[in-house]
Amino acid sequence: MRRVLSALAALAIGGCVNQDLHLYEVRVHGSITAPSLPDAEGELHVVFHRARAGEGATSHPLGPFDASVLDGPGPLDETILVPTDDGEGLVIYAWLDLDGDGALCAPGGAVEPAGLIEVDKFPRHDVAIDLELGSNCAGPEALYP
Amino acid sequence: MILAGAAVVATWLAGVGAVDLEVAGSLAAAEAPGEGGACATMSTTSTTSTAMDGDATSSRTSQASNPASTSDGEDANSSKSKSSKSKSKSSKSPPSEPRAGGRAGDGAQAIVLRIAPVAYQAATGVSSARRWQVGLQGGFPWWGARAQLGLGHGFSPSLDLQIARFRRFRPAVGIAHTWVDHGRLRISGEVLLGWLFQIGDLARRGPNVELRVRVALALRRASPYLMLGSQSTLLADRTTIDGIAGTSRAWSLRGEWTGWATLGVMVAATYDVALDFGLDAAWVDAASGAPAIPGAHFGVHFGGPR
Repeated sequence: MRRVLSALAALAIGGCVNQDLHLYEVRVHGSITAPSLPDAEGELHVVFHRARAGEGATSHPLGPFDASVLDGPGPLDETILVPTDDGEGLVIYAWLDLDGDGALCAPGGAVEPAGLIEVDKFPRHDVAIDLELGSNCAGPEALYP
Repeated sequence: MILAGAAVVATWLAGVGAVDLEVAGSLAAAEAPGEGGACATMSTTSTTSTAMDGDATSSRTSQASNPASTSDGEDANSSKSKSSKSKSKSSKSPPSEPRAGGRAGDGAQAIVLRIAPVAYQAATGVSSARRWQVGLQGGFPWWGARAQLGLGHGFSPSLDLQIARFRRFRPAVGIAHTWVDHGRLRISGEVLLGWLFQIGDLARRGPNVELRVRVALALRRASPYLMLGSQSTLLADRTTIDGIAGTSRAWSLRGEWTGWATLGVMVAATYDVALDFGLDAAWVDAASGAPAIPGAHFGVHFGGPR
């Protein structure tokens, strides 16, 4: 009887659900450096992507789901929530805003370094990375896949 | 040709040349006992028509037999005045003298039927006491079905099903009440409680409440009406986090508001059958989208005594 009532309650509650969002918590730590510009300053833009997003015929590489801005190159320790219903894998992209214009290599602006890393064996809750910004003016599409 | 046709329709709607229907028998059976019937003292010789003026049958016959009784919030005093006014109009009713609570003189029995034809009841959303009615409507994008029952004192419970493009369904139960009843003008309000099911890419589901206000006029054969609705749906979302320290689940609520307006006209095909044509304007999920494309519907309503 209790099982029946539980099933009915679950059905009633389940019948009410509209958006059913599943998130996977990941702690990303390590460092992001720009070897060619060891003394460079500026905001570091970090963007987290699913390695592959979408389903079926509309599936495509890279799907951004979160982003953060750090003070500059150096140690990284971020906790992110990865939506698991749409896509697979984890890719981390970063670029350094040397001229402070908020745009990567805007015309007339500075040449800015960027880099990307794909996390192996994802999903896992703890991810250690060592990301080097070794490509100038490269967007994530140019670096992956 | 078109003008001639329009003139014929206009004449018919206005009731000119309308064929009086002998409905005394069935109406007597409908209204004789109880609340609705308390005001019905039926004359088997009286004739009446499908006129739309609410208590038109009493107006068009000769006498008020029991002015104190009301079946759906109608005013007994207005019945009196209408009855006396209609004396000069009605040539078919047998001459008689008013007598409160009793029968008319000269061997003829007075008829006072405090009921409205189905067209007027459908337009107002409130049925007269001991009367029921059902209605179906189809169109684009809205379809619907409705059943209502007259409880008396201006109250009518109802079952209502609203469908949009067969992707959005809202079954509901409701209760309507007549707020204002001034002869040919009736204003009513209704509360509906239901559940919204929407399928497809924009799937949603949740409890729904709707408030409706109807304004209807009673002409001879037609009842133009305006219905305004405010529909709110509570939508629940669930978020499950597979965290480092374990799995957690959280619920959140959001609302969807849909505004609604229908401008239409009910036409009495007979006393118990009405045809409905209306223009629908809805603003589904108003907070997140543009108003929906206006639509139109055609409906049929029929009813009878309980």
